[in-house]
Amino acid sequence: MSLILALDAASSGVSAALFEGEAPLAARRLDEDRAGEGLAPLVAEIFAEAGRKPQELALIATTTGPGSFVGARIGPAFARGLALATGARALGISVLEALAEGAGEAGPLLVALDAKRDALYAQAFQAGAPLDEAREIPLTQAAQAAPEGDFALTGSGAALWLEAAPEAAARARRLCASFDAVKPEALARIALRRAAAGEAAPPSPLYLRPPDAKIPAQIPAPSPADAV
Amino acid sequence: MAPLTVLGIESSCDETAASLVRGEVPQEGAPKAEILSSVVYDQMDLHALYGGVVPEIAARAHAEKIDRAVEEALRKAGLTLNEVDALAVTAGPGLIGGLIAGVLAAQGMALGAGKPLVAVNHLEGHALTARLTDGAAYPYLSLLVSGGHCLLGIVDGPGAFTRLGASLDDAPGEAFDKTAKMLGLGHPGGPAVERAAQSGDPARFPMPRPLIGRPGCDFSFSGLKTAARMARDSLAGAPSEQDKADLCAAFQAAAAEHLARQSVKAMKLFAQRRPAAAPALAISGGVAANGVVRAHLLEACAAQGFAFHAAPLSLCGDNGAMIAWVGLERLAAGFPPSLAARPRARWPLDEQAAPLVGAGRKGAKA
Repeated sequence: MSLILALDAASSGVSAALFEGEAPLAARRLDEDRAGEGLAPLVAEIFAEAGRKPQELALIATTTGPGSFVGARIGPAFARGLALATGARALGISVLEALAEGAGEAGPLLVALDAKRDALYAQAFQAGAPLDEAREIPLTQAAQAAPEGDFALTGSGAALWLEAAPEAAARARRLCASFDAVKPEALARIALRRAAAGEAAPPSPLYLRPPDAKIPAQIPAPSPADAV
Repeated sequence: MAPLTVLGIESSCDETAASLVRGEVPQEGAPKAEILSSVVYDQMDLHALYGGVVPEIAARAHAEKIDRAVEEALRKAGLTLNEVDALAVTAGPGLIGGLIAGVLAAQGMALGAGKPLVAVNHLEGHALTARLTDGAAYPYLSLLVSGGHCLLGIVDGPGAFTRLGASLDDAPGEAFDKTAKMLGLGHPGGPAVERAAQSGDPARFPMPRPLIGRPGCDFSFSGLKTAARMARDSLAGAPSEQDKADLCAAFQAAAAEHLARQSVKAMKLFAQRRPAAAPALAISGGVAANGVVRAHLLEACAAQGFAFHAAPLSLCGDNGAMIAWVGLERLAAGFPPSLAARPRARWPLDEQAAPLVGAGRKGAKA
């Protein structure tokens, strides 16, 4: 069996849970905006509660976003540091995929997250496997995110999506709100599958949105004489 | 105390850096230190197009580079994380996105390796560089001049800094960068201004002398920046290469003179307040790499009978070695480490001093 740490700072609040395979050992949650500051103490607590040591870790599963830019960085940065120190394998899992896994739907499923600024982050799945690419969609084009036929709907942007796509809403069946939160056991299951498939890429934040920076137009280009 | 080996991590602005430092701080005599490795990944290519550092772009780059910088620093030092005694990480002040990435990565490493973690003030890293490189004895006068900071004060030990002066507006490096940007010299601006100034006449364009006749050791650079802009705008047509060189030379000389003038005032205060100390001035930070600034301060020290410690060029810019060293000094002095290192965008080095700039919800900026 393998010891797995599941981390999420990208959906809502910050949570950490420890599993032996798929069996939960300990879990903690911090519901505060600045919880990223406290990830190490939180994780140390669950190791103490489970009577295990970080050096025993085989897998670290962290969400990578999309969501707040800060939240998307907290899990991957911590997971990479922990992996470097323990030799465990760190894997990144998108919030969209984690929610699809947690929903446990066999048929088509649309995961929609509120991306603020009149937009959604959206991806469609079937039995946990993606049907399209994760992407940012303006509310005015929300209907385009819907999979074919009848489908289930989940995520923090579900209500927003229903409002923005009334013509497609009749085909959607909204899952209960508790499915809107990332479940640590979903992260552990995905990590086990990916590790078995040999995936080893370190987690990187998934932003789906470029930084708000505009290249200034009025800066004259440096002349060759100024080049180093 | 046996020598300690400390891993230092820095990500407060646009450099991702990691370093291993081994050293000790004896009860008597000078500290001993050896930099086993120092890795600095800059992001200049990412920010050059914008003519300055873009915080969100910097934060994105840090989140994926810190573990690689640490691995490379360990490899170059021929060490594993298990052989390190402690970790130190910059927790502030700086750009919050980069600080969070650095602190979280360091937390993961410290937890995973079961090692103590020290949260370090970036400004203290610069201020204690003279201890790391020259074994400077406490107390000494420290002048920190960089793209984000400008701070003059007395260093009595780790966690014991008394501010004598700070910038009331821009940091000097920021003024250098903006002057370069205005003349189309590219980013980073400091070295570009210095290069252009080499063939310039500093006397052609008159520059103001900031805060002249005012008491105190504070600094102001926004007036110099404005004067440079007005001089450029007074030219008929676009500035020629010679115009640019002359403007850069005038700006640079005025900035160096201002730094030296205020430092001399601080030297006099230091001599009054620490009469038993062997007088010394240590300069650090990116602007301390400027040859004209170094020359002006060296001259001022010679005139005042102060020893002069200038950070080596490789440690003027942000680096992990200075952070590792502060971690080492703090552990040696008995400051308690903590896994719960907290990132702080604003974190004055002298927490007793009255806020000079930017009081309010987020706390004093300087």
